[in-house]
Amino acid sequence: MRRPPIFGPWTRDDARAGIAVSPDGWDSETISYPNVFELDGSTYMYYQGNQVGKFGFWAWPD
Amino acid sequence: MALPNGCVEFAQSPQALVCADFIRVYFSTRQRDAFGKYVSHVAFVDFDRQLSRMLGVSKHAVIELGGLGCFDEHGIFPMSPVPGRRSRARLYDGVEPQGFGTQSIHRSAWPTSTDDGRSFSEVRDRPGGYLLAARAVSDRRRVRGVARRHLSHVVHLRDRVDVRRPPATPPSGCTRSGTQPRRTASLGRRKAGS
Repeated sequence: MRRPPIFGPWTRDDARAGIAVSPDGWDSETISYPNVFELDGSTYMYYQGNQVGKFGFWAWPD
Repeated sequence: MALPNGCVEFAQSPQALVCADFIRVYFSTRQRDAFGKYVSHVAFVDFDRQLSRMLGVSKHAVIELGGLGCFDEHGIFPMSPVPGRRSRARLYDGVEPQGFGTQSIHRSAWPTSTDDGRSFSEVRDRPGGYLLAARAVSDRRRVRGVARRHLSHVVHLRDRVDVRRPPATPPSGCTRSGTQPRRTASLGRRKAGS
């Protein structure tokens, strides 16, 4: 039996994300695979850049 | 710093694990096999707690790839590290990509570590082993607290194989003891009236 979705429906609003692709460089096309974690009272998010992480990842502070 | 397993590019799906003295970030990186195809390996890099200095990169295979025919023979990524109880083991799940053209086959597993996350052992040793992994995930004793919150897709997988759920009622006409004749696949001639 298929369960109903827990959240949603979704409305896309990129302005609320607080992060976007950079004007140029390794994360200028896509940012994906976020990984959020807390460290010493701060929140960080790792994410990978262009071409599914071909050029690496970075930690973005809250 | 050189990557392990001869990997030269890609650092995908970063997954941070906050340790006492450092931050360990697992990621997936790629090598080319003898046929020029990508093969993904799990590696990790350790940073200081200010995330400003790299302390080291793994020099070994964090998870050995599966053998011939196993679901993870061509690569492992990504993963969700979860600190284990009593700091005895850390658990995470791996999802497997393998390309056939542009297609990927994804399976989940639940390997564990007994050496503080330096390496992990997989619940599979033969083709189809992911089913065993799925049953391991279904063990409620291993899916608690943090794991339940962070590995919702694994929990979903657990639900799919939860043996405690009562068996679904088969649709009418499909019961073996029902009044309708049991349907069987047949490649040959059927007897008249069957």
